[in-house]
Amino acid sequence: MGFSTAGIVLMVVAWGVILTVAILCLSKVLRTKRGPGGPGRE
Amino acid sequence: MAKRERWATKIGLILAMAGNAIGLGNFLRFPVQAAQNGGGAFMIPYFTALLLLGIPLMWVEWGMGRYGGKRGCGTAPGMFDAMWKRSIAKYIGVMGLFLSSIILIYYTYVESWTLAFSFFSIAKTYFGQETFDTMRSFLASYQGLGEGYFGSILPAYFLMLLTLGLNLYILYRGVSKGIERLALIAMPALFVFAIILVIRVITLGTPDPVNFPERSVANGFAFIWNPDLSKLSSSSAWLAAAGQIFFTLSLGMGCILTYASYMGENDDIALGGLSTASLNETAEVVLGGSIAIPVAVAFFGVAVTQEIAQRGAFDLGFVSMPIIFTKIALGPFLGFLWFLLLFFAGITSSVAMALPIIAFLKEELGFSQRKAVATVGAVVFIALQFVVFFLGHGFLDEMDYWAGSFGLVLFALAEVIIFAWIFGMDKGWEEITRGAEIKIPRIFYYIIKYVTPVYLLFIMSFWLVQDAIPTLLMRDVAPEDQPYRWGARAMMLVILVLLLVMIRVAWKRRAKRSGLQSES
Repeated sequence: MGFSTAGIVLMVVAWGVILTVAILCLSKVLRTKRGPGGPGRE
Repeated sequence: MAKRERWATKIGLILAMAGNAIGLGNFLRFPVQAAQNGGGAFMIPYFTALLLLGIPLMWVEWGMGRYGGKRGCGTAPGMFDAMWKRSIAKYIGVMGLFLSSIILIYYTYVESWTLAFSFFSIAKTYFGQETFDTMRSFLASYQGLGEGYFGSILPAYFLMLLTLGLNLYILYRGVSKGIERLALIAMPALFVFAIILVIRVITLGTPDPVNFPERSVANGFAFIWNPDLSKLSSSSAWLAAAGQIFFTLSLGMGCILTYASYMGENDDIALGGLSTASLNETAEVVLGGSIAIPVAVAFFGVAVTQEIAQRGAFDLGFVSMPIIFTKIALGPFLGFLWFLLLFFAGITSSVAMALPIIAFLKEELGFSQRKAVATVGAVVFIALQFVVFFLGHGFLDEMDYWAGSFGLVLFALAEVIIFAWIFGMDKGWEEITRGAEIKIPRIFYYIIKYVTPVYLLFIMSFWLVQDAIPTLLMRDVAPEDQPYRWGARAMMLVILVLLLVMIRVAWKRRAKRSGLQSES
């Protein structure tokens, strides 16, 4: 069993989508000032 | 209304939510499901379920939780009652206490095995058990299921007590000083451990190129990712994907509701929910899919790995992985990392499971923090005795099926119907989008209202016919185990009735309080 081109493409696409969303979300979370702990906290 | 605790930081909330979602299933269940259901092709139904089921339900639970928290309710009975002004609503909400409590009982025991095996790895206790039979015998003797390395169940019992004690200590410290601090340490550590293990797996290459050139890590990745598109034409791959998304995000359990209830009134839900889901998917698809199965193929070949996968997640995690650690350089250290990673994944989930019932005791019945944690600890300790001593008779399996599988879908269906149809999707949408740091596409309004409930109904109907009825009738259970299975059902029923009585008492207290307030 070899790693097929389709398998590699699917793995790269799945990893790419997930990592991109995770990095974008986390960077926005770390930049945000509002919410628990921030100035907006009641 | 008594002042409620709050999460101290936004990142603390996200990591605690991710800790709740990331569990043993991310590293053990997902790669097995992917390999058995079409490899890379499995990602098509998997991402479909994530978009139509996972992320919408995540937002719904965050929204319900924040809505309830604003009204002083940290658990499903109070939240359902606030959203649906019918007396039945709070009793339907009992599932949000029942399911998490039942899962907590047996999960604590499984979690203690990971702690035990991290000690066994660093102390090389299981080194020397190099075949599947001897390693299975080692595990069984630890669990008290047979003669072998351990003369008694005492080590397992002690580790169970230690694990329960650690959970109770964190819970006693509270939301921001206990659970949040745990998440801030355990989650980054978990990701670092997983990355170290993935790098080690990838650099293994072909461990024995002379005798077994086909046994390689590359073939392990091929085993998981090479697509078999023919599998997509059957419903089983789509159901497996939906089930995996459901379990991996810890939906339908009541834990997310309680965590979200400690948010501020206008704190963001959209970005928080998506961040939690994406962190969970990173741990599952990127890291979880790159450790256990690829390394198993590299050492045992595809055929044996298929057998391991058929035997389930525990065999993969507690039998085949320890054998591999006995064969590789730095095995004791890597084994320690692997099981500590699983322990961190476990404990960040188990504290989340205990929080709903603790919040209920405090908020609805006026218990102090100490009394609520001690009460939950005592009940879990008593119930754990049956799980520990009747493990070999399917006591745990029975609880896992009804609470850990079927019950979750049932409760999620109740949640989405109450949120989208009874509370109303317009109010629900306003609740999800208020304070949002990102814009949620309007299409999710319609997905939450129409697609998610239908998807859940479809899964539940299929499971009802395929699994629930045969399980209820104990078709595949040995006659000698049936009394123990009935015992598990009786215990769950007793806990359910107790919770219903507690809800009734709590609402009588509420009525009395509101009567006194109107008099004064």
